[in-house]
Amino acid sequence: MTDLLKDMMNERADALGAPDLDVRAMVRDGDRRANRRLRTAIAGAAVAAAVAAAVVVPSIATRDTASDELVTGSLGGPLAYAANSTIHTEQGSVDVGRRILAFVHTPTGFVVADVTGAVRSVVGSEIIKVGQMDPEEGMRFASDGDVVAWVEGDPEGEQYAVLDHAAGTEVVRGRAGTRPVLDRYCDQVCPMRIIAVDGRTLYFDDARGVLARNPLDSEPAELIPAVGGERPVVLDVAGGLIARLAAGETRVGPDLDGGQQIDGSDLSPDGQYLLSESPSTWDRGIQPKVFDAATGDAVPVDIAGAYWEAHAYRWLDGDTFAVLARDQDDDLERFVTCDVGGECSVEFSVPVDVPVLLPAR
Amino acid sequence: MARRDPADFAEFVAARSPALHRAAYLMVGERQLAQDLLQEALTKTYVAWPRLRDPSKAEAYTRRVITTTAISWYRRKSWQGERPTETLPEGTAVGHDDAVTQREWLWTALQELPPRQRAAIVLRFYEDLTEAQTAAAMDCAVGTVKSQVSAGLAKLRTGLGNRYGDQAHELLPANLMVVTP
Repeated sequence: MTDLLKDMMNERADALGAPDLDVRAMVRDGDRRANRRLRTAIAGAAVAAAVAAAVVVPSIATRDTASDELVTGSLGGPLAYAANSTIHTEQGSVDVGRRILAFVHTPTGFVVADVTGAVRSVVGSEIIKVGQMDPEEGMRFASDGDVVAWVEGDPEGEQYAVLDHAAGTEVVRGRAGTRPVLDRYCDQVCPMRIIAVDGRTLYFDDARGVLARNPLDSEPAELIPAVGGERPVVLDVAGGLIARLAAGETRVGPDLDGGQQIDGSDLSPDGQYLLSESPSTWDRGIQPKVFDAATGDAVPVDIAGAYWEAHAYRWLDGDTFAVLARDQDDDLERFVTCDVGGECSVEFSVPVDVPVLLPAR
Repeated sequence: MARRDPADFAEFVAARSPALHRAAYLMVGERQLAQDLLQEALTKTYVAWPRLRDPSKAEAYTRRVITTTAISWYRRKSWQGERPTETLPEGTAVGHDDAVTQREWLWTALQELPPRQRAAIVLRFYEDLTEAQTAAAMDCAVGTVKSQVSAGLAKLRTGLGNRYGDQAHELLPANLMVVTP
């Protein structure tokens, strides 16, 4: 297949003529954009100068009245998805007014990032702007329960932002103090990345390993150093355990040395289980797998094999996870909850042509 | 701080734009769209030029912009109700210029994959990036790359199976599904 697929792509690419590019227009447009960014940065710096680093901002939250008018209902239920500008659950939907590109489902409500990079808290019918991501740097959340974190600013002035949704809309911001990761495949200096939130602690990618920081409680940062000179790809942190990819293997342990080898990337909130997926085969799509993180033993999964494809995408609590499942010729996708070692149940279904966006884990 | 040097940038464009153009074309399937995509991605690269002193970093940055922009463009198109109008080539009896027919079919099938799956496959199997490198280019987690590649290949496999029956096993052997970092 490698041959067939690669040959086909190489043939197509090789037959392509040289692109007709306008470098002068790139330089002109680029200078214009850079100047606009510079003006914004200067304005931002003037405000930031009045605020010490890593302090609790008294709340930058502002009422988003334009969006409030668009609210169509209140929400509930354990599972949710977004389609265009609307979040849906089994019990209702809410339109935030702008196309959603990423969101988190917390016990309190939702935190969404729209196409402009605006970050909003959605609780019932109340929508409040709480932050601003840079759409050009990608929009990504990390969360654990009600604690939600994201990165704001451009790579030259990045800061973390973290919110305890249960406590309201107050956002803590600050510099992470990470040593930038250098990787030829992302940038000279990779953008700051929050790998995961475990409890109230944020875990940052760092050139030296992983940096743990709990700004909500003003605890000092702690470096978890890489071992053996090779920086691992950290997949998840939960329950004090770290799942990492190193030398082609996934390992789970309290630090970046040794640990249990398990094929999975998504730890349950208490770190007891690891969620994984079996690769698709000729006659079956991906299927969920669950492992005991302490022993590496597989735990039976009720839904495995029940549908042609079942994508386990998120832990809901310590022993319940969410699955999006469908059969090969089915015109519905099913939102399913599964108990580890127990039964699964279909919560609701949506047509397959709905552009479903799932919540961040 | 390094300055934004148009001459250096123009040199980079001349040297690397053909390769970047090819990858963009595989992701969007249309020559003009690929060219527009590259023009936009290189403009963003020029904005970031002062912190991209090493040309290899600039190329990686441009590739990431191409990938994420291609995905967002297709999302926008699908919301506007625009769908690919091409249909997969009609079946041809096995034995009739098979290789050409299979590649033609595979090209069309690749273009009908969802944009994230298509991008992941192009980066993994045309650009030969690792999963971690692909994740960086797509600005997503490694696990997402795994699932996108797996789902995309499964669709290609299913389509080929429906079309070529048992012969498809030879075209898409199962070991391709073992995706290593």
